[in-house]
Amino acid sequence: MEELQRIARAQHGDDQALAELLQDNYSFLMKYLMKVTMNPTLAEDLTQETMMKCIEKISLYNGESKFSSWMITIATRLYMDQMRRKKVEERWREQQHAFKKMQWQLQHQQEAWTEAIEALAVLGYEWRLPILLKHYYGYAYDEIAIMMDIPLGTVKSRVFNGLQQLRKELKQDEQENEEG
Amino acid sequence: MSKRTKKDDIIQQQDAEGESFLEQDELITEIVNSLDQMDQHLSVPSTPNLLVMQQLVMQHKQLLRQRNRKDLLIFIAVALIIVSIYAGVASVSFVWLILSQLLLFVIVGVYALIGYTHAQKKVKSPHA
Repeated sequence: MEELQRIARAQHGDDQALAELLQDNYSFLMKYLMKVTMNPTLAEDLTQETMMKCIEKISLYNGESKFSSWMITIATRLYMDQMRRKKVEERWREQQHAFKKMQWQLQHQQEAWTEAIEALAVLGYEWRLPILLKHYYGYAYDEIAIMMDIPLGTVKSRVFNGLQQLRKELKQDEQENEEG
Repeated sequence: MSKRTKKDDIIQQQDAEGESFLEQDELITEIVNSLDQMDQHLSVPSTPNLLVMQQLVMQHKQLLRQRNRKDLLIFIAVALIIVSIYAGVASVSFVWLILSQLLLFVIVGVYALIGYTHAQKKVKSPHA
């Protein structure tokens, strides 16, 4: 209720209400982007960019979804645009660098860096995104289709194929561990 | 015999499906737990305080206003240039005005046609 009032005030030009809304959702957005990008630097940049976009587009928010969902829709599209613009090789190099950085950050907490995280980080963003949105955040397939601006069938096949790839990757790791 | 085989096949298929669903559930649980752990342990920059956030909002809104003003000025300037050129041409000769309009129409038409053909080709060859 309080959030709805804040949104209404922000849409009428109240800077403080908008600042409060952004502040409330900052951590959620940052954590979402961290999981989606698996790249702390990129996640930080995208959080800034998303907040700027929210300031610009607040008048277009229609209340059909939660404010946090609206924010992560903007963030998802910004991330996808950025990834599409980059060349595959450049993307791979950057991802490897970020991957090592995250691994280093989590190094002293052995339990935090699991094989599942490693497999998820290796997975392409096109598959990682719908898997996260579906199975971690609990969005429905049609909501994910709107968020990612792709057909419903594509979302379903990407979730299915992504999970297959993850399973394959984890089985391979298991076998390697057994052999080693 | 044949009925029994079919039944066996169905049971086997159901078992396989059940196993696959179970495997999928386990995989999803593993992913969710790992992501939860990652959330807890990964250092995330602290949330900026309200004053900083308010300044950010105000600065960005000011930037947007400046950008909008600039865009509007450019639009008005371009519109004025185009209108004055047409007014100049019309004052010299009305026939020239009609001819320049026709030329513009043809150029825009050809440009649109090229653009449309190019877009169609892109759609037809997904492996390109």
